[in-house]
Amino acid sequence: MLRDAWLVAGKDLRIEARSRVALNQVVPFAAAVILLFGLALGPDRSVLAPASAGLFWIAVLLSCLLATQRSFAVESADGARDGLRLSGLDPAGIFLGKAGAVVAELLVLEALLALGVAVLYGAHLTGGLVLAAVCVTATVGLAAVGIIYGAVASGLRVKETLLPLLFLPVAAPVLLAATKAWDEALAGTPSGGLGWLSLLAVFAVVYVTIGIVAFGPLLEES
Amino acid sequence: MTGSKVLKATGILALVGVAATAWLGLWVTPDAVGFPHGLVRLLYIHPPMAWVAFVAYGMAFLSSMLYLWPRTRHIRFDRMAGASAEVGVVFTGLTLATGSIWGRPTWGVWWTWDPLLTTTALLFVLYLGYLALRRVPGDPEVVARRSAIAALIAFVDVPVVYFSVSWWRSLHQAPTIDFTGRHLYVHGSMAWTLLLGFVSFTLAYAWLTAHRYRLAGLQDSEADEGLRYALDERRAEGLGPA
Amino acid sequence: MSGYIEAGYTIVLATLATYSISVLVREKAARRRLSVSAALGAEPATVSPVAGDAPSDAPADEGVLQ
Repeated sequence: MLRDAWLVAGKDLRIEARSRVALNQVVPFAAAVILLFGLALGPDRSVLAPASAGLFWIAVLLSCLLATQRSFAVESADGARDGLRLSGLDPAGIFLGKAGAVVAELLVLEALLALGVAVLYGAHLTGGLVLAAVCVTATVGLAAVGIIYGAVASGLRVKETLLPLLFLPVAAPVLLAATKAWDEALAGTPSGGLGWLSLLAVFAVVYVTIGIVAFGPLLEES
Repeated sequence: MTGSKVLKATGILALVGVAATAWLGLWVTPDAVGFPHGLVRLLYIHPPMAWVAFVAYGMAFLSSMLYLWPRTRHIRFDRMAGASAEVGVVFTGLTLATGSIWGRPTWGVWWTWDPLLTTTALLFVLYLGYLALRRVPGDPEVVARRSAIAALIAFVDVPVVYFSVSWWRSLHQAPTIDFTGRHLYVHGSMAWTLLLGFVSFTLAYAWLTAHRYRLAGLQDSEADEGLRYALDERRAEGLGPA
Repeated sequence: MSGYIEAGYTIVLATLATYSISVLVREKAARRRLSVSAALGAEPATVSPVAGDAPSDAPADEGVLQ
């Protein structure tokens, strides 16, 4: 299973390295989002800095949608999905691989985005270890949900409109917990975020488990 | 058929029960101290709405699991899940509406970020998404499988959402609003009315879901019928010139 | 009493009534279409388990509501 996951993740990341869709489209999109938040809330740093954690995670959530959509767009071309299904790879491995690739892409994006938030909103990135741990656990949970729903919606003609509706409400607790943990860390009390971090870990474990179990039946269809 | 007799009886009981709840709630029961504008009367319908919504989602989840479990896989569980979720969404909408109506005179706002209210609102959009997914046409078995998995994801999210939202609120706002009036000493005619509300709205749920379930079955056989008709037509076309 | 209570009860009862009627109407329409197509179809339809109790059942249920 892990070997298959590794194969699929490597394949997706190689596609990304060659096509640079995430780099050329998703990262600028996220940058546009945080710029627009700045415009909407005004140039006042006393407003922007306290809100920076929430705005950061909204931008991550929206980017995660794009990344998962991209992850399945890759499979839909030339019937690659059938190839994947017939490849004899373990479905759980495929799930882990695709989710892993999305996690890797999103972590790079989050690093850039954190830099942007620090510069544009004047947020002080203190408590770096907690910030990083929150990023990793939250992103694993988001990618797991995104990949499951991406598989549910892939192959449907309405997937572009349906996926956000399915994904965003489920991701609401991640947004909440990650934002609160970041708030604590940015306020200089990173230990206050540990409870939220454990909530994120529970979320990630639950949805990775569901993905491992449910991905087989999901791939059979279409 | 006895099945439809039971269903009819359920419908009549639900109708009488709901009417009696409205009558008792609006005119018979006394005003409670501490509830301005006689707002206690909303208590007879709001908690039953919420209760039915959660029962409906629980039922949808259970049916989805029965569908996913290979030994009990049958399309009727998928229909049941869809029917129950749709009725649940209606009741969730009503929970939000009555909660909001409660909030306006009580706290002066139509909306408050109360954990229960917020969770309910998220549930509402969550299951709207589920119903939207169900409505996407496709092979019935494929639709059923992906709907069941979506129902699983949605249902597992409920406790996580509730826990995170209530934690979020408790950190920021010391006095949580006593939403359902738990401190209220419910007694006499009020207790009976509340109980009647719970029972009759639950019966209404059962009746509605049963009919919605039948409708789903009819729609499925209608689709089969249409397919068979189209196949016959094509076959006739193919045979015609020869 | 204030307008809020009446509004709450009205919304609940009206929504439930509307939804029930729409389900019943759609159920009846589906039954009618099915029985028509079964009558037209060359082969005997295999939908009898659901369509069998149609004539006696559907109108009576609708009566329950009103």
